[in-house]
Amino acid sequence: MNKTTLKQKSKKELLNIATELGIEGAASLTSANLIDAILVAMDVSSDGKPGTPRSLRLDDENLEVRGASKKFEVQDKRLFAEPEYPVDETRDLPQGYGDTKIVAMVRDPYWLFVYWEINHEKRRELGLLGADTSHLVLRVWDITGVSFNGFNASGHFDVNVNDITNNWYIQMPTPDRTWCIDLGVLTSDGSFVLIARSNSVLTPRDTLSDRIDEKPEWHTTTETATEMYRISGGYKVTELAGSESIGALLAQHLAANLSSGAVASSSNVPRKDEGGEKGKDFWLVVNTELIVYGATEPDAKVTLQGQPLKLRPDGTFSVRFALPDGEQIIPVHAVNADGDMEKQITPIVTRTTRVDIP
Amino acid sequence: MAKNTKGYLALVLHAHLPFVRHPEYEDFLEEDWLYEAITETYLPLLDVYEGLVRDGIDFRITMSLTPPLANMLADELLQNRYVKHIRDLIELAEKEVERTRWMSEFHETAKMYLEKFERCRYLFEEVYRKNLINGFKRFQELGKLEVITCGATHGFMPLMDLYPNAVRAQIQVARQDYERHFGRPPRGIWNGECGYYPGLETFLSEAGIRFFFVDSHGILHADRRPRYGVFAPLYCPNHVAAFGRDIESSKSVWSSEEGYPGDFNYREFYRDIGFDLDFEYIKPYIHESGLRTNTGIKYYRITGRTMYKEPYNRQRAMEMAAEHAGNFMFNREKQVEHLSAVMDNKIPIVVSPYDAELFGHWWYEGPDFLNFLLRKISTSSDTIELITPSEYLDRHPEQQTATPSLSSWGNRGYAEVWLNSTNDWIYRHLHKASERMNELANTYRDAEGLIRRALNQAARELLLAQSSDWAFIMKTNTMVEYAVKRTKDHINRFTDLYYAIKSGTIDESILTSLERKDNIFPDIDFRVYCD
Repeated sequence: MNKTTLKQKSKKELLNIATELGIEGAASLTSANLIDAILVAMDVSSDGKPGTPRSLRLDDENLEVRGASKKFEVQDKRLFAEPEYPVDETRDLPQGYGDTKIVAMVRDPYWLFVYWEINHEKRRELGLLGADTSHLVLRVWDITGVSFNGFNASGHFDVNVNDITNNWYIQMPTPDRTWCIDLGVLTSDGSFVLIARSNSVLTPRDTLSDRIDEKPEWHTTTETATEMYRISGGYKVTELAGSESIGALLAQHLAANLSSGAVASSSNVPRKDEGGEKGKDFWLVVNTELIVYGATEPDAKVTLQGQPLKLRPDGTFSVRFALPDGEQIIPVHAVNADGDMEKQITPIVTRTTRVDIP
Repeated sequence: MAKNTKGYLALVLHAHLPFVRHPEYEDFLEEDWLYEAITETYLPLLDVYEGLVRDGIDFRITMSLTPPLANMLADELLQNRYVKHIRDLIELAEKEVERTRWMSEFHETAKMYLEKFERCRYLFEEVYRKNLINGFKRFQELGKLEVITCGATHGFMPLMDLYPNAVRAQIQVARQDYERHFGRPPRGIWNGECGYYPGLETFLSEAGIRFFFVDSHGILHADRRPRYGVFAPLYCPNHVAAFGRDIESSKSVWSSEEGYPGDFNYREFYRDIGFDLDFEYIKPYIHESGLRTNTGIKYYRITGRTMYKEPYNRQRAMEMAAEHAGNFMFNREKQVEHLSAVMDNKIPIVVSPYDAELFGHWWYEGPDFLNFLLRKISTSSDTIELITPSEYLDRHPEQQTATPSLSSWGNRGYAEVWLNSTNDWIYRHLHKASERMNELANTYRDAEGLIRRALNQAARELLLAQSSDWAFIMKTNTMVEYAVKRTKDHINRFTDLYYAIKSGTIDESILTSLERKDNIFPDIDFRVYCD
């Protein structure tokens, strides 16, 4: 009996085992803690893998206490009293779910997306029929205006796909139609064997509707309709591209500056598209700062260039300045707490910058 | 009313961030999205509203606060982390004021940041008592702001339509969450990414929602033909109203080319001292790993399309914001004047939706622009009136009935951004999880205790996996790893719970840990997934 087999048992079964092993107070434990208690009592080390979202740090401690049920209770409470946030490793998602199906989704008036899955049983079945599943066929039915029964579509076209993929984008001949897609294979004699049928999907129209409101107050002539369409920016719809232009930029700079992943400096590194001559590019930035620091009696009053300075509790201070070209006269003036003694020291700093052009 | 109203303007700000809350780390980069948005967008907007109310300016604005954002704003851990964040920023700004003493070109800007950060801290801690929802609620109760909701986790509905229970849950959970925060049901909704498919309105109506928004072509390609284009809403056959986005006004703000935010006098986003200053100096204010990140202190203006940047001049930027607000209002006046000529006696409504985070975070002067705009329209426009969709429907209940067309405001107007080779792999898993959640809900409808907790958590994990943000991020091709991880983690957590529930092997400690980590929607009831 190991952890995996225990995990498949119901709580009732676990309780029975625990009782047999003489674990006291088992009824008050959660299933997970029960499993650990059982493993400890059986002297089997538990196999809590790192990375799985388990907060059962109990494991090690349990080994020490050997099935002492009271401890479990105490630890149980501790566990819930203190928030614990295990950092879980990301696991991959399954390749499939054991289904045989095809799902159609609308991307826009001109494209559909389909994804599918064919499970093992279905593949075996197809194999027995002599169907070669390495070549799949998407049969796209135009079922506009009908309740599709497999035979009453107004037309269809086929798209050949391979079995290496499990999804496909299908370009549609006309917007504003209802479609259904059959996933199938062609047998050696050329007949179509259906594997799965998709949901039906309606692609959106990409222009004004043909239907005109019959109520007089909403009636439109072709002129008024096209004029309102124009004023509403109907001909610019694709041009504006929604929130994308800034939305994407926003996401990009957020990303560039905030991602937990590798981050490139986005600000002081020139970007290729921003000015500069074509071809080679090189740059250099040099700045200077000045730190003025010192110390005096902790209760003294100090000013720097006439402005009060904050002293640390031990009487030391330091201030940092961006230092531009030119001369800085920096009188530091201190007066003792009684106000009857003072000192002044004045550093004078000059910065000049030379740009050497080789 | 003194105005001779010729047209309405409905400004709509969509405030949204994905649920990014990582108690398992001390310092988690993606949480900075929230802190930056609070400092640069949410608090400045609230402060604008405060000022307008104080000055007796009548204004109307609509904002969606998405459930993930509302949950983060109401979360104690994140609230306290923000307090630390803003205090650190104040400390940095104090040093900056000192450091720039001899550089007059930066000194004034440094003082501006210090003042703004101190104001943020004051508003956050003392006025709104750490919960910004209190602020939004206040302006809603004053009748100035209409807060609407959004799908529970900003799910992209057109790609969820095969699973009606999943769609219903997105809407119902959002409605319940809204009630928890605002004490009344929402009247309207911003569907994530402005995504709509015919039939969605059924679920909106079930939740008592009166209106939603679609992109322009959602209205223009409606069945039947819309008489008034995007300048009047349409009622779906079940009487839920759809408002269409106006392209002209959107463009003036959105477009990175022609839009106001690109003006050379505005603050440059990409020059942040987090990247520009000496490493040892800036280290305490960037990520604890030493990774350079934005601090929010930036000293330059856009200047031009060059690498060379000139110092930011706040006063000049404010002048531009005022000028742009005037230009925006002038253009709307011209627009409605022209519209009323072709719309018979109908008063047009111009609906201008934007991402809220655009204002302040991306376009630093955005909140000031809004401030100028709201003031100008209220006090000096004879023809434009600000309105919320609810008010508009109350005043003009007679509207055309037609079903909008499938659409979104993403690139090219449909589902391509969320369904392409970078992210299409997620849907088989999202669909399977939706199907399984439905199965669980039907099977364990009357569950109590631990099983019920596990079912509720499974619902949370599914909802979190459905955030459209993950697919969007995968498409933008940056930070993809995080989006992939989030998708996989939530699906895996869901699947583990699914099997644990079905096999009767729920591990309470694991469950508790998940409940604490993914603690969105504390009051969720999984039965929303029942048939």
